[in-house]
Amino acid sequence: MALKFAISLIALFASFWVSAVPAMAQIQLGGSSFQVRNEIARLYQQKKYRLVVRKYLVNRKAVLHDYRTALLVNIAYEKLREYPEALTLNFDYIRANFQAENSRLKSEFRNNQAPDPANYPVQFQSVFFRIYGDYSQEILGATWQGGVSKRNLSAFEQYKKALDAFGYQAEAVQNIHDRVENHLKLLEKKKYRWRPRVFLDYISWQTSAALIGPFETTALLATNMGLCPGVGISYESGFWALSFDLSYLRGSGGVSATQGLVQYQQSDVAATGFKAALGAGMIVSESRSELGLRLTVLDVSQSLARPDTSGYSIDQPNSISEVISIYSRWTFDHFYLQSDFGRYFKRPATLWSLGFGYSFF
Amino acid sequence: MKFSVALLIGFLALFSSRWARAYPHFIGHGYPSCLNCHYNPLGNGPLTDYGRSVGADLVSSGMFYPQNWSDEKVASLSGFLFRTPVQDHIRTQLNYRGLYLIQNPGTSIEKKQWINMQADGQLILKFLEDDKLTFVGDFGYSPPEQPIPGEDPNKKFRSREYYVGYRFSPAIGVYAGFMDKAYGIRVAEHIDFSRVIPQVTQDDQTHGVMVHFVNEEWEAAVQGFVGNLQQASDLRQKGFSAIVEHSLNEIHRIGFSVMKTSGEYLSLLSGAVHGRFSLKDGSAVLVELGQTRKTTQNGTGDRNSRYGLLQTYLRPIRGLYFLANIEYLKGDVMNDSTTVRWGPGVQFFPVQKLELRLDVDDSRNFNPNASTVDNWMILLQTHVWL
Repeated sequence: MALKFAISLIALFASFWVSAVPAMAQIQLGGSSFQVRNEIARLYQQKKYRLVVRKYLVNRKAVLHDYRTALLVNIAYEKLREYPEALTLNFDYIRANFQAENSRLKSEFRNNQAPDPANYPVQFQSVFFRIYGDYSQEILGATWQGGVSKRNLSAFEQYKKALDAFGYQAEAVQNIHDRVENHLKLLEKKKYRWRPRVFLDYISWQTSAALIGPFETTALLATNMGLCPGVGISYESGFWALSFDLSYLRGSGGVSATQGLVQYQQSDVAATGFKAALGAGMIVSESRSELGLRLTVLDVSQSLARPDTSGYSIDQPNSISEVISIYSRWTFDHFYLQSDFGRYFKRPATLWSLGFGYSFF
Repeated sequence: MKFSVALLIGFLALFSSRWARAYPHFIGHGYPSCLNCHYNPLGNGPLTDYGRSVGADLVSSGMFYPQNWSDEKVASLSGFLFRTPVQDHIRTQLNYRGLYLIQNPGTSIEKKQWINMQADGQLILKFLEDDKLTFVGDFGYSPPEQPIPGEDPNKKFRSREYYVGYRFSPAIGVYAGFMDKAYGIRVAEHIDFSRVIPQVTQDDQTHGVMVHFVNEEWEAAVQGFVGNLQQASDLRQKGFSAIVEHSLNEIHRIGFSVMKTSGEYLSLLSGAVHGRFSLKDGSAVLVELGQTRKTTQNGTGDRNSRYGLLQTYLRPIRGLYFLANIEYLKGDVMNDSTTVRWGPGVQFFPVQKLELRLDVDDSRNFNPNASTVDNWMILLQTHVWL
């Protein structure tokens, strides 16, 4: 009878022991654990986060059975920006204290059942929130799109789903989510891509020449207009763009001047050539509209006829000319309009163009 | 202090523009209808309280405000003389616009001049729920750029608009008085071909009645007018105009407008199609294509003119807009000569109530029988409103 009573008493005590973990852990784990926790609390207060972590690494068991101490170590890891380690700590904490709850939650999600927050202790939810925060920091720490782990991203969304189901810190959860989403958008914008393009411009440009007479020389400026089909490629992010365009140019123009009694006029003189342009621009809107500077080199052939009057001739300088211009591109999905306005180097002439194009990516 | 004033004047002179009255490119900010910000539902003229706060927050750069100023704080200073209105019925506004114009810069015929385009005051009286009933008027120094036929050429002080408006509902309103004609995109640049050819510039207001309708999909206005009653009766152009716009994807607008006027010496029939497209984040593209037929009494000025406008505003940062103003004119469709005017520019709102603008205009004539050099203009504008 006495033995039976003693066994019952031990069983009762044992069941009490099990159910009291982790709440009673601090009392039940004895002196050395108590000292570890006190030491960690002291180091944390002194902001010696590295020592906090070291202390934890050699006293894992003592820490993992105490919510407050585990929380301090978690924060220490976060202060040290060691989020993977913080995550491992939290996973270990769950494994040590909330194995059953965690399994049940997984099962409920697998079966598309809505978890009842009342079935999950607040500490469990709180650790989920910390894990969610640590995943967010992992993602926010990425400085380029390829640096975001898909696994982390997926886990981040899973924990969001769980926290939404719990209704735990709803506003903070959403704020963190918004921050991550904005960061992902930023990384997307930072990503550089190659964008090949085709375009057709209506272009007007000017070529210089001189009417050389027996006694004087008169400057001529031929004003042309024509079409300019071309291809281009941009290397661009959501903020900046470098581009190179190459196009064929075909048009015509006229020139007229009077020197003494000689009236010189040419109309509709054909001109053909090539145009190469190197541009650097800024993406200014969500629709990827662009504004920038462009250096253009033109090689255009246009032969002005010699004047009929003897003693007069036409001097046409080098067919290659350079233009510095302001360009803008106004994008509507894959289609865009573009304009260019520039001045020639070393001569008072202007080039402008207006066109439309299609961007393949 | 003297240095600061000199610096300010220098800064203003450096960046000053064309006449700027309405900003249809703000469709890029998500405002397809002018009614959001102006008492005149087609834009132009004084701003509503909301329009003033948009001007302070969204349009103007925040770079010169203390960092701890919130948008609410900035908006609270958007009222007349930086004050928050204490009553609902009276609003006032003061405007100044100055233009430094350089024609044919760097040539032997270069001409420079400072033009005080406008220094006037505006008074708005508004009553009833949601300001259904409004009286709007302005008066001040507003010299016409060209003498207005029938008006005293020395007349410098006058009113450019005064009207009463009543909105029966948010959708429908009636406006009567002296107003701009309901036609085309009311761009800021009054010298644009799209304003000059159909005669809807800053000095072409008329007395009339306008019915305005707006909902989420459509906006339309029909205006009947009897001409400018300040002119001699034989010079008044009577007629009607109408404009219709349809929203695309809630952020773009396409539309058309027609106008027919007739007077003793001139009859005018004009039509245009237009589009205003948002590039988002404050950037926009405006397009207008139109044709105007003018018939004169003696037949000497009869002509069909075709014009086009492509205007873009790109906004790299808040408060700063880079623009391209590209215009086309075939003065007479029977003639081979065409003119293209190309104008890059910068519009900057450094702080609320201040606009600085720099435009460069290159006009090029294409004529198979003659080759002419381009005409250049540099325009620097300062606009202050209080």
